[in-house]
Amino acid sequence: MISVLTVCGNGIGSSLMLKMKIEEICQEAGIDAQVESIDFNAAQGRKADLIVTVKELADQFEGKNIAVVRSYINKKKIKEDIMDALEAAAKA
Amino acid sequence: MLEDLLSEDTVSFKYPAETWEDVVRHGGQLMVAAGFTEPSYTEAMVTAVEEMGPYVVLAPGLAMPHARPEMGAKAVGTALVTLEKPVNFGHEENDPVSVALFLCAPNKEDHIQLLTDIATLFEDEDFLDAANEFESIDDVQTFLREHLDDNSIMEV
Repeated sequence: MISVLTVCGNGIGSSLMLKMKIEEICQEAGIDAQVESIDFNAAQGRKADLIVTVKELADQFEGKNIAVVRSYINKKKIKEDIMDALEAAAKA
Repeated sequence: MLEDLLSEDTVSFKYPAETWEDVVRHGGQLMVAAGFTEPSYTEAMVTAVEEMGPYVVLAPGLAMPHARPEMGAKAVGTALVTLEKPVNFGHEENDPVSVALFLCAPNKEDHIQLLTDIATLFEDEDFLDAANEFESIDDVQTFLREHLDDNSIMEV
């Protein structure tokens, strides 16, 4: 089981949409993942196998395992952007 | 769910906004008037864009302004604002914005169906063009009936 955090400014909108898409992607790929959406401030102190967010917020997570997505809602783009990182996290 | 929350009072068509902030404040007022939010929520939506950037612009031409539940969200709610002419939010790929679908929720759980509906619309290739032509709540409801999976009707 890998842990994934999806991050946006507020934790209830965009990041929750992203969480739903990533859960679908993980299920389809057979990756056992626990995905949680969280707001930007709360994410700072959290540990996870992978943190997923957009470019505007990604710079603030220095030194953590980050995947940057181009879209919070387009499943195809999200899959392209995070699949490698998801698989790497699942193998680790 | 979306079709249940949108009414005559929470839609505004071809609003003459000059800036992204005009758009956010107008939608915020609609949600306050509808009893979904306190005025503080409107301020929080503006601050969120100022401080964290235009990430609420989720798809080309489409924004979903929102703020944190504790900033004054009283219920799960939404509002739809279409613009007379598009405005820039400062998003690299998805500017300019001509349609904003607002979101408020008092916690992290109760609005999942609403979010699912909004995501469905924002990925629907027909939505942006159709929304720019909306002139009445009937136009909105007709589009939603044809383009959303109606599992919320089952729940009533």
